[in-house]
Amino acid sequence: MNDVLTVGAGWEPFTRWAIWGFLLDGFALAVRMAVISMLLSLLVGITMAVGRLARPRVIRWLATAYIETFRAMPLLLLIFFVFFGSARTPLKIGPVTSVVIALTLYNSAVVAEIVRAGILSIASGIMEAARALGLSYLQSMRYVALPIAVRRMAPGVVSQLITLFKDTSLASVLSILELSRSARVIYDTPTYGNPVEVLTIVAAMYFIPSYGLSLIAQRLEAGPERRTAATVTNAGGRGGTPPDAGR
Amino acid sequence: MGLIAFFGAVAEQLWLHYPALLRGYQVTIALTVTSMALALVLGVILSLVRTSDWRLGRLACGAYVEVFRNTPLLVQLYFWFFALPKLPSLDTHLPYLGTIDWLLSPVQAAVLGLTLYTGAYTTEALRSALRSVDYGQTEAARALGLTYMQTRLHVVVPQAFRIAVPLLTSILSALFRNSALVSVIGVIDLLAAADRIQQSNFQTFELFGVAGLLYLSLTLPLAWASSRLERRMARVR
Repeated sequence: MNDVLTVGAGWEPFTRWAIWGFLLDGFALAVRMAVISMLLSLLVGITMAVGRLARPRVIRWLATAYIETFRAMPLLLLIFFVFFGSARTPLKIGPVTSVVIALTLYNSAVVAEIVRAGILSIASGIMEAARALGLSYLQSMRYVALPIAVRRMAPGVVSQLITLFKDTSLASVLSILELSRSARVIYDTPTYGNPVEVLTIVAAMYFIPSYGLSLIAQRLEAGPERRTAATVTNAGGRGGTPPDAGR
Repeated sequence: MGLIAFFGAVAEQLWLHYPALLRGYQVTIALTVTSMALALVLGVILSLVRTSDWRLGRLACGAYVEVFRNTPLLVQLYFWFFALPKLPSLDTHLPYLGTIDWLLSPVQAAVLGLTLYTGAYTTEALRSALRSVDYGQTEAARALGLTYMQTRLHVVVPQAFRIAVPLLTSILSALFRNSALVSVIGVIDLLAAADRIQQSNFQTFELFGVAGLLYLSLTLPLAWASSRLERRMARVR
């Protein structure tokens, strides 16, 4: 028995379906939190981007303050603020909802900047050309400008989804049984005590979808219509868009 | 009105608890500066290997970057703090080193975790900067008789650094925010300091408000500097 405690159970727990089921439940919760807050972030982010580009000064300032504040805050602080803060008010927000709200606050600010850059990157000549060809304003937006803008935003949004998926691990501080908390529950079990093995498996469960998404983001960056342009710029020495900054 | 009262209460909490809060602030700054310095050294070395002709080195550095960028920092911190001590101890038979038992203090694990996580991003930033330095510069330097290492270290790296500065600035800002995670392995940083006080006096909003403002005092100037540098780079090009 003493031997088990010092050495740990090693890989043995992974021969049982129950352990995998437990980890996969955590994985599913992490994916669900990431997807829900990505959808919400797109909604809020697009609103904020449009607000920051709007004419009225008050709206522009409010949107800018929102974006700059939440982009510059540690996510863990936002989670604490929403969860422990709401617990002091009559409005008691549950742990999972708190994490989704905090993830959305942070990510919508980042998405807003991606969307804004996408909108600003459309040269005014493109819209003018579409209008000159006889398309109405809405038609030229819908069929010319937006498809270009969406294609330019896509890589940024996909890399943000990777960040978001990794950031769901912060939910473990509120004892939510997502993937990294489930891992801790397993290796903290006295008869198992195998953090090396469990964390390796869990790291792989984060790595596989994230890496897959990063490959998708890379392909989107060198999209079909930009492939020739990208090759030309690479030959000139300036390759693609710069990598992200780790958040 | 409510906002003014709130900021008044925030200021009051800072006044009452400034010794503990500023100690946490110092810990956050010290952790970030140390890890950034180490991550820059790591980034320079690994990005040079990643753009070299050495195939195995390139593959190894690529694997490092992908693994550390695509797994959560939290899991990495757990690994260094909880899993590393479980590895069998290593007897090096060397003076001073002796037997390595892998046991790290929270601060050591935090610096290791933040450095390796951020190192993956600095490596990527410097790699894309190195590749964006015109190849004519290398050819010209080699034609002037500089060796391979001289060309890389004295001609290519300084130019790449200048190109990478805006991105490195946002990496530093991200590191400031990411450093809040070290509270989960028991380092009393700014967030942990605020959390501890909040647990005893229940001034939750006010204390996290203080912590938030102190974080903003570090990250907002960096965000501003980063966007300014980016605009200046765009103009230079």
